[in-house]
Amino acid sequence: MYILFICIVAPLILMLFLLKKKAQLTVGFMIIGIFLCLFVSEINAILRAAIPWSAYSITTTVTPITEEIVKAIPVVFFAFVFTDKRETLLSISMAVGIGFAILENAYILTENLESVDFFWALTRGFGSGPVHGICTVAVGLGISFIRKRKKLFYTGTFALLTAAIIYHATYNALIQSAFRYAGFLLPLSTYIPLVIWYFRRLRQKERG
Amino acid sequence: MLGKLFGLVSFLTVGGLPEHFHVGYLGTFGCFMFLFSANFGQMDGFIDDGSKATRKYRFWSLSAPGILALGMIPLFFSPASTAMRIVTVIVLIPALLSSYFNLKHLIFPDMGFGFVKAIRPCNLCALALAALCQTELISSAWQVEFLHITIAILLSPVCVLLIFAAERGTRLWRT
Repeated sequence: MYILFICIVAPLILMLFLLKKKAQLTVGFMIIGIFLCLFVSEINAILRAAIPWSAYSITTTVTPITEEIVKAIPVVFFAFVFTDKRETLLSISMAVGIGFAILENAYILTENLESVDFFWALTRGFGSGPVHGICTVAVGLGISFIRKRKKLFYTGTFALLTAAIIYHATYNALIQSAFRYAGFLLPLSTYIPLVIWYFRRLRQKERG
Repeated sequence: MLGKLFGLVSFLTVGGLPEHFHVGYLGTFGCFMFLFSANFGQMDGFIDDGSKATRKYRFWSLSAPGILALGMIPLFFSPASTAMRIVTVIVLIPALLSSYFNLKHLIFPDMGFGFVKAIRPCNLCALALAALCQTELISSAWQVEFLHITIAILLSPVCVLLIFAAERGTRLWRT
């Protein structure tokens, strides 16, 4: 996994120096997302060894919790230290989630070379990629709202993380079951309305 | 609601009730934490002036968490593991705390603003939600599928009613 990490991250880091500020921010957070995937894989390995549950229980209970908490950390940090502007948080949250998914997919591919096929690629690419992105975006967008409402902050942050964790766990549960087609459709059925909402908002801002 | 949806997915995919902690419990915990925070942090200071005249309402409100605490007794005789019992108690603690304020704001006299009257349906739904969630968790500990599924079905309209009641109460509070 470390070799994969270097192969993916090195070209992105070299590219950073040639990008404009906004693009630098997005690619930078994508690199952070890739790093977080590496970090979480070590934590998950330790937890897998320590908790005597089945692989299904681990992937639907433990890994969604660790992954969503770790992915939320840079987004929450950025919201508090730099800016809680909704558009910025949306793009960096998505970047963290997609970066995470890139390394995760690449690693799983290398581990299962004999059994992968075109449908597997579609499922991982259009399934787990948007799931990771959407879960982190939920936290990022939510933080931009609750940060201004002090009384809602603690329960609000917990609620955002919980929503992301449960969404991720639901996807993992569906994709490993006989309902895998519902699992495949779940992220797209959330991502498409999100994109439509985003473009409508941009158009409204341009008009007035 | 997301937590209950996960419970449904888990039931359909695994084919039985959960035997250990799952992420759906976080949804229940978070829901009652929010209700407790909203009641204690936002509304209680507005409704209760802490005077001696209203002491009896504060006293009688203790019956809600008391009844819920007594309702947890079957949990300790269930075949669930010790870890599962501890998790269930932890998940229900915010429900106990929230139920005190829900009952208090239900029975407290309206001081003329109309707000207490406006949020009474919301508090009634929240109390029903607490009772149903507790029964659902205990039926899960006893592995009684029929009761668990019945409660899960009943939870849906209660959740929807709670949302409408909260929205109506908030709208009336703003006016």
